[in-house]
This record gives sequence, C-alpha cells and structure tokens, in this order.
Amino acid sequence: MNTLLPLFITFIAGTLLLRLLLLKVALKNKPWFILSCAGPVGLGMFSLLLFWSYVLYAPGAKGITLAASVGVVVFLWLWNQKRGLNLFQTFPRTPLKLLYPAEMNQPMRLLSLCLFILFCVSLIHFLFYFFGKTSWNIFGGWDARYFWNLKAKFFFRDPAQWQNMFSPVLDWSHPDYPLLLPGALAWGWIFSGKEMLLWPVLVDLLFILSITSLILWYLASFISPANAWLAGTFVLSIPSLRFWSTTQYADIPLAFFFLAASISLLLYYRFSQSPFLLVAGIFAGLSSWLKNEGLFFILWLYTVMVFIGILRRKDLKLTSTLIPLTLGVLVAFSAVLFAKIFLGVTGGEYLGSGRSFADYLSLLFADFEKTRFIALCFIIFKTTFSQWGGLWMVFLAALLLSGKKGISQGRWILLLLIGLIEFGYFLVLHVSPSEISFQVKVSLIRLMLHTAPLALLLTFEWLGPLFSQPRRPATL
Amino acid sequence: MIPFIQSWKNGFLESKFRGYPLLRWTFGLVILLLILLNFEPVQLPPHPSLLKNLWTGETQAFFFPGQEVAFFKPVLPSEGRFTFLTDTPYQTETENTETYLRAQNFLCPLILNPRPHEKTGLLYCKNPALSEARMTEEGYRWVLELKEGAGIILKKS
Repeated sequence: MNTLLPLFITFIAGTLLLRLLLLKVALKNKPWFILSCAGPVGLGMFSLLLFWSYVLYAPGAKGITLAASVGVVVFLWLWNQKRGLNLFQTFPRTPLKLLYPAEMNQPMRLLSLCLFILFCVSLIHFLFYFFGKTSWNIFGGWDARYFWNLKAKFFFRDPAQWQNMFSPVLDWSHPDYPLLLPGALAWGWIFSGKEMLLWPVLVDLLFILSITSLILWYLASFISPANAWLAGTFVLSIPSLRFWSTTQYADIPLAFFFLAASISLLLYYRFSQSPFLLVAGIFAGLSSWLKNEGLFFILWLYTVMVFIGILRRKDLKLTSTLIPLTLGVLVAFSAVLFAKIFLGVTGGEYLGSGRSFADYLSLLFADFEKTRFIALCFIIFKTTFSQWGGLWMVFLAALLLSGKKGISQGRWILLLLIGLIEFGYFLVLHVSPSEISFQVKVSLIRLMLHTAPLALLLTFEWLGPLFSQPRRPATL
Repeated sequence: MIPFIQSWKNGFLESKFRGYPLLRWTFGLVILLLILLNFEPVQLPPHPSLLKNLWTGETQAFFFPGQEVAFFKPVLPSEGRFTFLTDTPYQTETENTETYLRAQNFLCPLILNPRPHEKTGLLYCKNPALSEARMTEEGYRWVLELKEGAGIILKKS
C-alpha cells in the first residue's frame, strides 16, 4: 500500500483541482477527461509545492512539503464539498455506453467490441513489456540516472544542501534544466519515507497511460468509440513510444502536456468556454516546468491565440482569453523564472551560453549544408518504420487526403501546433553547441516523440468514424 | 455566436470521409496491419523476484549505479566538495567518465569535482601503480588508503 499511496494521493489531488477548474464547463464524458489528466496535474502541483517549500525554508522543507500537500488536498476536498461536488461522481457511471453506443447497429457494435478486446490485449502486452524492461533496468537511461534522478536525490537526501544540484562543478548535469520531474520523484520519496525504486517507474507509467487515456477519451467522445480503441491499440504498439516510456526520460511526460494543452485550446476554440484556456495555460506552464522545450511551446500557444484572435476579433474579449491563459501559464512558469534567474544560472546551452544574437543568426543561416543535413535527418527519422511503426506516413497520407477540410473546425490548431513545434526543433538543431550529427543521434527521435500523440489524434480525427453512424447532436 | 460553432453543435463532427465507407474501412485495415507489423514478442519478461523486491521496497536484488564506491561513505562527512580522480583525466575515456558520474550519483549530496581543483579528494584507481601515477600527475598525496589503489587524498601545498 505504501508503494501506491503517493500515486493515489496524486490522482485525488489532480481530480479535485480539475473538477473545480472545469466546474462550469459542459464537456462530453468529462470525468474521463479529468481522470486522464489528474495524475500529471497532481504530480505537477506537488512538484511546485515541493520547490517553493525548498525555496522558503530548506532545512525543514520535507515537513513543509508534506504538510502543504496534505493541506492542499484537504482544502480542495472541502472546496469541492462546498460546491456540492462529490469526488466519487467523477467516475463514469455508464462506461458500457461507450462500448455499445446506442446509435450503432448490432454488427457495428460487435466490431466495436472486438476492437475494445484488441485494445485490452495490447494493454496487457504493453504492461508485460513495460514491467519487463523496467524491472531489469530499474535506474533508467542516461538522462534519468545523471540528470533527473540525480536532482531528485539532491532534493531528498539532504534538503539543506539541495542547491548543490546547481553547482557549476556539475555542469554536465544541466543545472539550468527545469525541475518538475525531479520534484515529483522527490515528492513521492518524501511521502513514502525512502528512495523507493518503483516510484520513478510508476511516474513513467502514469504518463504513457495518461496519453493513451486522453486519446481514447477524445476519439470516443467526438469521433467514435471504435476509432478510440483502434487508436489506443496503435499508440501502445508504436515502438518508440513503448521504448521511451520505460527509460524515465522527460520526453513522454512532455508529450502528454503538449497533447493536453493542445486539446484544451481546441476545445476552447470549438466551445468558447474560457476555463479551457485556463487549463491549457496550466498544461503549457507545466510543460515549461518539465523541459526547456516547454518554453517554446508557450510561445507557440500564444502564436495560435493570435491567429484565433484574428479569426474572431469581433467575439473575443481580452479578459476572457489572454487573462485565463496567462494565469494558467504563470502557475508553473513563475517557478521556471525563479529557478532560471536565481538558481540554475550555469550550464545553459542556449540561455546564458554567452553567445550573441549575431552568433545565433550566423548559426541559423550561414551553413546551408547543415540545414540540408537536418532536413534530411527529419525525413529519414520520420519514415523509419522500426521507430514509428508507420505513424508519420499515415499522418502524411491522411493530411493529403483530407484536403481543405483537414483544417476546418479548429483542426488547424493541432496541425499548426505540430508544425510550429517541429519547426522550433528544426531551428534549435542549427544552434546546438554540440556537433550536429551527435545532437541528431542523441535527441531527434526524442524530440519527435513530443508531437507523436498529437499527430496520431489528428490522423484519426481527419479520417473520421470507421463505421457509418446516423447523425446525432454532438453535444458537449 | 459564431456560425461555425453553431453548426458544429447541431451536427456531428464533420469529416471528409463521411460519405466514403470504403476509404474509412481501408484506413482501419491499414492501421490494423501496422499494429500487426509493430507486434513483437516481449524479449525481456519481468522477473518475479525483481518485481517482488520492487513492490516491497527491498533493494538487495539491484546493483546501484556507483555502488562500487560505497566503501568511501563511512569516512566521508555529510557535506562538502571533493576532487574525484580515476585512472585517467576526466573526459579522456568514456569508461572512467562514467565511473565518475556513477560515483557522483551514489555519493550525492556531496559534490565531486572531476578536475583536480579541490584540496581533498577521492582516488579510485584499478591498481596501486595507476593510483601513484595519478597522484603524482595531479599533485596529491595519500591521507587514508581504503583499499588497493583507492582512498582519500590531499593536495600537496
């Protein structure tokens, strides 16, 4: 029980918070959406609590973190009660409705059920693979051992000395990296009282299952349950998603936050309810608290907001758009700013690297061969079947087939975000301080992971429901 | 209200292929085929005793990164910064670089400096001959030899 307690508390906290934030929002299968995001949101929240506790009073930070975590959960619980929200109402009462949608005829229901069974089999197979891989390599890959988990140890082992993690002597461990993952790991260890080896593995599992669940929720709610089960099976079969989910790296968690923020922005666009913007901001802020790539993502999110603003300038109000989005972003981004300004100021590869604007311009535009090489690597890596299992090829085919309607009904938001994220990485590779072939070798596949769930979701949405269904009102 | 939203609310999500069942079915079959092609039997099944250890929180089944320098721990203070020297200078040989990284991981929250800049240091070499050579090279002397080729060293003034 001690092993699963931090996980349980994380879910409770995330669920309580999201219920409150989305209280006034009508959303199809809302409990499922909340449960899909509850774990990552809870971890992000506790990671922030831990960080500010350490900043406030390091010697007593473990006690403060624990007290604050319990306090926040109790507070959220009471607030939920006050608003008349019962936690247990969160769980879907009629999950069978999703298996047997009323509008399907009997043969189609049977096919949908078969796909559901296929998904269950693939989930069991994935869990078998996941625990096999992680139990034999419990300490994870290089980045996990020497960056993320090392920082978590600095938090956990001696709070009074936690700032040793920012020492310039340890520049190889990237003192400028954000601290969501180390904070979440240390929080679980503090909660269970020891450096529990299973905790980082459970965190890893939580994120990949959250991605799968979010895709299932979206497609089952807005396209068709059959699409959802097929997409869920496909997600769990993609080799690179499977492999990197076992390494304790931060890329799969980042992919979750990108996916959740993008979906929230899309929901805002479609249904014009500003709480979705607040939630999108929180997800984007948490992505910047997880990896530096999240800073880029915030920029892209605001870029998309500008486009939405241009399209809807008559209907949009500043107070109902930029303010909730910015408030959400600031929840975690304030910690990023604090850490970047006052703590992890050494070892930055880009920020604080001492290179001038002119240096960056020359790196970006002066070497055409380098640009060609990076572009070729993008094409080769995306089309490697052993890594992606055909995902990007299906994505491209669906994009071409969907034509003009591929960007209708807000789908352009997801497409633009995928394009901007990938374009950002394309540029960043130009200015990397490492030798380009080395940088591509160690990072390109992982960078592509960040947009893979979004691409999969969009592919299934473009191609529409697998089985013909009579039209019905698509309510929230 | 924006007309676009209105139309979305009153209908199902619009799809290019709504009227093309054959295309949709082909897509479904292609995805199924990809799933089949991606399928690989699990090469490394979970070991029951490893899983049991993980679940109960026991650690004896696992070899921790840097555990080979555990013998330093009893003689080290709880805080401080030390030079950490191995067989070759830092970043000249991957194997020794990783030895340093593993040691830092294990001895955290102490700070280990791979460069010979600190007054006190930890020396971890394969044999006494190498340890003597490294000390001479970097200007250190023994304070406490904990095992052959390894121990606490002090910078010569």
